[in-house]
Amino acid sequence: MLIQVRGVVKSYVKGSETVLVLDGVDLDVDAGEWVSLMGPSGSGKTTLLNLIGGLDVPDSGSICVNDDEMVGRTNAELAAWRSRNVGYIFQLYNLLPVLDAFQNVEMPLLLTNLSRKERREHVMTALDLVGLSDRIDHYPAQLSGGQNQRVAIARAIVADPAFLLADEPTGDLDRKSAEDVLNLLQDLHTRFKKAIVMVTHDPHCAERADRLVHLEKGVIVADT
Amino acid sequence: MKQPVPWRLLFAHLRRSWFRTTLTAAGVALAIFLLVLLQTVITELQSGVKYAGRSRLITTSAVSLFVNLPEKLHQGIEGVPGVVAVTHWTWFGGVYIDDKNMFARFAVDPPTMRRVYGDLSAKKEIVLSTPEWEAFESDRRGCIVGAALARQFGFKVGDRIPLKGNIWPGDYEFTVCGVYSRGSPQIDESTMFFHWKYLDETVGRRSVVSIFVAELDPEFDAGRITNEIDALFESSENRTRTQTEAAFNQSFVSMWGNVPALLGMIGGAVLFAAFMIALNTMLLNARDRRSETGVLKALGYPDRAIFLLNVSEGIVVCTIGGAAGAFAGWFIFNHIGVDALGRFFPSFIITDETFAFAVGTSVIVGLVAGIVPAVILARIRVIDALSRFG
Amino acid sequence: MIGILRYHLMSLWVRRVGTSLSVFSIGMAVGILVLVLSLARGFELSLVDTGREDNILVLRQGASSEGESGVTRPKWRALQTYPGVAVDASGDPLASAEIYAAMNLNKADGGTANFPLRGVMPATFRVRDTAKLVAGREFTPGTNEVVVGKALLGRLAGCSLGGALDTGGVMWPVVGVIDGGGAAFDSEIWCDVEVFMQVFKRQVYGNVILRRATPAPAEGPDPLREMLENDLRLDAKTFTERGYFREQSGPLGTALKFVAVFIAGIMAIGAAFGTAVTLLASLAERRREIGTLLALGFRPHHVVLGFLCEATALGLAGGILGVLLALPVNGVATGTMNWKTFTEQAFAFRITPDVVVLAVTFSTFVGIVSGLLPAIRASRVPPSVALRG
Repeated sequence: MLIQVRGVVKSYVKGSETVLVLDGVDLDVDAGEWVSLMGPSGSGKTTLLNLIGGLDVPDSGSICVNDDEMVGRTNAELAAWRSRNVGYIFQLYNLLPVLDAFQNVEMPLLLTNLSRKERREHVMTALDLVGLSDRIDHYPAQLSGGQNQRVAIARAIVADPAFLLADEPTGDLDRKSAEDVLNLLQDLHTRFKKAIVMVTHDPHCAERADRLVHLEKGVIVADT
Repeated sequence: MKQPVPWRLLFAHLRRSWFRTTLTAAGVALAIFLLVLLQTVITELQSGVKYAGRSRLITTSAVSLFVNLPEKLHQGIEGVPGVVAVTHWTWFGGVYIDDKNMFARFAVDPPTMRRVYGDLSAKKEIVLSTPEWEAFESDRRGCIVGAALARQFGFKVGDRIPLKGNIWPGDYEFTVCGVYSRGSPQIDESTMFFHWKYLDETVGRRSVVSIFVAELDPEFDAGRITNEIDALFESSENRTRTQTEAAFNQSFVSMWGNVPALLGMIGGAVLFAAFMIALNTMLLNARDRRSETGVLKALGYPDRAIFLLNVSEGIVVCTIGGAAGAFAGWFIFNHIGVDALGRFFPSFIITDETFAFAVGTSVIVGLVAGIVPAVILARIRVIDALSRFG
Repeated sequence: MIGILRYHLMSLWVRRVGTSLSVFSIGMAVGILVLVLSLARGFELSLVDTGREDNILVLRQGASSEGESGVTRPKWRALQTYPGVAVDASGDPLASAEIYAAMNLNKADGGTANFPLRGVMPATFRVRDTAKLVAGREFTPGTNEVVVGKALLGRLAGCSLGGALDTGGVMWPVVGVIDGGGAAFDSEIWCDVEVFMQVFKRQVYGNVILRRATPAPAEGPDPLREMLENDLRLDAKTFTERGYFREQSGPLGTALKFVAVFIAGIMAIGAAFGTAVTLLASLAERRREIGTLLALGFRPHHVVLGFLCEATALGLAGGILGVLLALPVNGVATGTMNWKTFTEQAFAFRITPDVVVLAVTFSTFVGIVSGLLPAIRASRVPPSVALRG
């Protein structure tokens, strides 16, 4: 079992009222599995993704990854863990505009002990995989949305994490680019056995996954 | 973990927002430039005290600096055990062509002056070549001028300088025998020195001087010699007041009243303004960096790295500005020389200490200005930082 | 137009941290300007309003101040009875010989400083009547008694009615206080001129002060002063009493004004840079809003004016803040060296209306200059940015 979520509760304080976002969620993700989280706005799917990725901590419950308990760790521990185990893909790519494609992809590797030469090899491999090895010196502003998302995917996989977390990865793309990104994720999933947890509200997009999990009002209502 | 701080982002940011960086650094540079000036003025005001000879005494009339003493008293002072040499200075006043040409003119005794301040002393506070000293000593109508004064009025060796006396009535004319420079910051490079004997002959042998300067053997107790000198003249009609050179110079500093305090206050305000310019930029930067910080944290960069990255940006911007400002000050005053200011502060030299102080201050300004936004960013939660994005 | 102005001023409020930092940095520059100018103004006022226009000060040729001058007794006798010199009710000439020197005296708070000692004749009290005896009595001629300017009370050791000043062992009992109305006499000590000469071994007087019988012509050369200066026996140089003091304020007053403008000018450039940074950042955040305004039909010059108004408001606020910051020093007594006489001159900081007007104008100008570039950039925002996501 790669990811094991048990009885997770999470609420946010918004203004004067407290909003319960996750109300006792259990979820298992196997190694090499592709799971789509679906649900209406405010159903808690992005919050669940953030909790799995260690970007946030639950009010109660437990989250184990590779049998390691995530809840209760310090920020610094979580940060170090993220750098080795998680690859993030965001809806709006979240590339650093001041860096070019190569440097953006290299960012996670700066946290490792790899030499300059090794880093370069890894970055080139990742960019090659997403089909952008000819765009290494382009800045995000010089690339299209689809290309930016592919750079972001290269950044997510460059440190060879155990699983990828994707939050609406095609939400901001046209149909053609979205298809390219999904094909790329499919490729990573089948060829490299990466587990993927993906939030989406596009049924067409969600269908690519092995499993569909539906959330509504903070609880899982369907798991197929 | 090899290198947790993504330094390349620092330079990428500086390059990307080069206009803001430049304006900020320039703002800090101007402030540090002013700080260097103010600090230099304060240093100059106090240099007379700081660099005064420890084994040197100044004897004036007990009544006032403006009451003269008979020249013959020097014999008495010389006789006190521990006194190595005695020379005297006399304030001349006078007018060089026009009232507005203000510079200090003193009548002195060249041979003893050379023993106390010049190449015959260990201290060599007045730097003048041996031939120039000899020319000055042998020409009764000779004079020497400071380097700054020579620059200001274009005096060269051989030039004639006419002075009209007021305190010491008469028309005088001097020949420049040498241009001295200073070996100690307490010596003023915009003073003119000439033969006291020429003055004394012109005014009809009044045989009086303003002050005596006694150089002591450092082995002897200056306090005891001070008392012995004053005791010599205690019951005479020329009662004296002897004090160390430092105390004598201090009385001139204190005449400036609140000016040094005022300058310090202005310096504080200048620094505060620089700090606010820097803080403003750093806060604006922090605002622009929220989502980027979120991404870095999501990638696994620790809070410490975020903090260091942002603090360093403040330090780098302010230090570049500060170094530029301090260097500009150094270049303008120590290299080109500014005669407009030279009129008021003729020996306007920026010391290494002042330079280091100014640059150090700019580092601290950058550090403090960088800390607030750095803490905000380091503490920000990833989900809050990223929530700005859709 | 009013509506769009309100939009711009609201924007300053929305970004109040950046706004206040900019206002403060301008305020610092203005504060320094006001501080140093009020110092210069206080110094000048202490000298400019000293003395009477119909008093003539006679110095020796070549002397530029009283301390450098010398007038022999025969010359004094000639001057005393000079035609054109006023006489009082009892027929005595309104003329006085004086001598002026800096004395090293102990300050009340420790340390020493030079203060002016003026040896005067009793007639001086009637000739220099802008200095009024406000307490005690005049000194008795032939004794060491002195009267002191009111600014010296408490500033000098022993300086109070009934106390005594010490000049290196010679004691000077204080018997009276004079008030020169905030002017130079407030820092002076007056004693008998003959005693002064005896104690300090002077053979000649320093200067002579005369009251003229008839006022000087309103325009053109003054015949009385010309006659005095052309009289070869006298070897004299003359000033009106007021003119002499006015001239004394020259070097230090000019230097202070130079310092004020120099420091505040450089600081203001730095503050303008900081303000420009703020406005440019604000523009970057508001490109869509500006684009929308343009798309709605506002013209680019409206946007330029709007940004300049923001800049002006920042400058104005900085100016007001600077004046407020400097205001507490108004009236604070201080003292510094008068370069002309080498004595310490007591005076007070004076924030006069013209200094305030100058400071606020200056800061507004700084604000406008800092707004120029952001305004031009704002006017170049394409209206289409309003429509882009």
